[in-house]
Amino acid sequence: MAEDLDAILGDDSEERREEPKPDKPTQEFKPGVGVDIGTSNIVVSRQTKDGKFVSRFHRNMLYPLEISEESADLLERSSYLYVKVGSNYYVIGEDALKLVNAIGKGSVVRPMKDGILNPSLKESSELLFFIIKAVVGDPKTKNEPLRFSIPANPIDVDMDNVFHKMVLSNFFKKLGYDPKAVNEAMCIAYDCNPVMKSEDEGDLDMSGITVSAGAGMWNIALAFKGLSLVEFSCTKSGDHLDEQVSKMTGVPKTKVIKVKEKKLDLDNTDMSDNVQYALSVYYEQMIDRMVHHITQAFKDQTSEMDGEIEVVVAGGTSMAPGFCNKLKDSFDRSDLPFEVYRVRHSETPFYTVSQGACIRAQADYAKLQKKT
Amino acid sequence: MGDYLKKSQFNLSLSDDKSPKETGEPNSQAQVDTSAIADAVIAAIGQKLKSGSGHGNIVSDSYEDFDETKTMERLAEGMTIQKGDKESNFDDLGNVKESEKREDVQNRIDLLSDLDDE
Repeated sequence: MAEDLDAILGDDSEERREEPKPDKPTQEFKPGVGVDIGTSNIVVSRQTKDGKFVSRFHRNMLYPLEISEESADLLERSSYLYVKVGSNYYVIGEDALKLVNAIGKGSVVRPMKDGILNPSLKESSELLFFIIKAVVGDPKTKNEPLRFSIPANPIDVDMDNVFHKMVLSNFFKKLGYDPKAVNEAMCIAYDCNPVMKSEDEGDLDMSGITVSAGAGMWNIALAFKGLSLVEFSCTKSGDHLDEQVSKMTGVPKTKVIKVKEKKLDLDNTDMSDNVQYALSVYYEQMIDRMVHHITQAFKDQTSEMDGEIEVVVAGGTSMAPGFCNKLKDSFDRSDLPFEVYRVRHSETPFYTVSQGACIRAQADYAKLQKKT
Repeated sequence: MGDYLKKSQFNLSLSDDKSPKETGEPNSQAQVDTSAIADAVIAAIGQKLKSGSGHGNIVSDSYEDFDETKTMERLAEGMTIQKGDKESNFDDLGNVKESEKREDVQNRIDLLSDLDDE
């Protein structure tokens, strides 16, 4: 076992630890927290009084290990972060991915699936609550406004987010916050400010299409002056793509994820690499499918949207270089009833949803102040 | 709870991108306009048929008039109760990233605080 452990741990186990870096004690924050609980990551944002966003992020994945002498020994000798629940240890976060890669068998599990609590993981809510508590921390003021992002109901599967919203809301209430849900795609409008070029009114802020391409699903909204006109989601996003490529190529999913995150360039795909080639094919199919749904959903929204619009994208699945070009090409080929003058990537795609939620939470606080 | 979720999951696995309306072939031999009937049924039972998981959904919709909100609230409350002891080797989690100063957002906070959208 010791030799096996050495092979698994390698010589950099100390570097593996996801060290929490505390917020600087001198930093003062404006009231209002934004939380993005995605299928893949949890991101929490606050804004300092001098205008910087401070975001804390954690990879939302687990690797279950049955409780045994060997697993206890592994955890003792490593610096992997874990939670012990029921008959399992759950190695959490980035460590879960590293461990499954090192062991070379099994797979990571997620407390979330397709944007909501994973129904196939018995302890998903308990684990998620435990993890959320450690990432979000305590409120800075009593009943501090908190906005957590939720997906819109998907148009391609029978799924309702009401229960998910209730569970998360209860989590945050228990932590002492005043929580409200906010649509994930609208958060991008708050943070990135898509601009519509209206013939009558000139440039209109927070107006356009926003897309959050996450691991579980795409969330899409049509925003007009900060209001949501239409919002919906579609499943079969990044995770589905990884699964399909893994099946087609016979390469384990964790390795597919690695290639996707480190090597894939959709503008310049290495066709000699089977995984990259398959990824690029599935990316194009996914983008065309989403644009098809967007075209269908927005075809009746021409009364307010009387100008050229901007599309802003964010989310982990949009991180591949060349993603925006592919999306613009697909929009140009579509029957969308508006002209898209630009597809823009969020400057901080990983943090945009939580920052947008934080902006909305700050607006809630300002609203409260006006009332009192 | 588990059974409820498993049932939902089962429904998900059966569904695909196409709505029943899209997949249904018109019955050219019958005198009855089946597509008109399908349209009327879809209009009557609303969005829930969209997943296209077939008869299972239609049957379940027949008793969906019952308001499940209170039941769901109780179940959601139950899910926040932490059962048994947990052991972990961390107190707080996550890496921290700081952005540049973002003075552009204040206008949007002001605008959003005036919206009456909820």
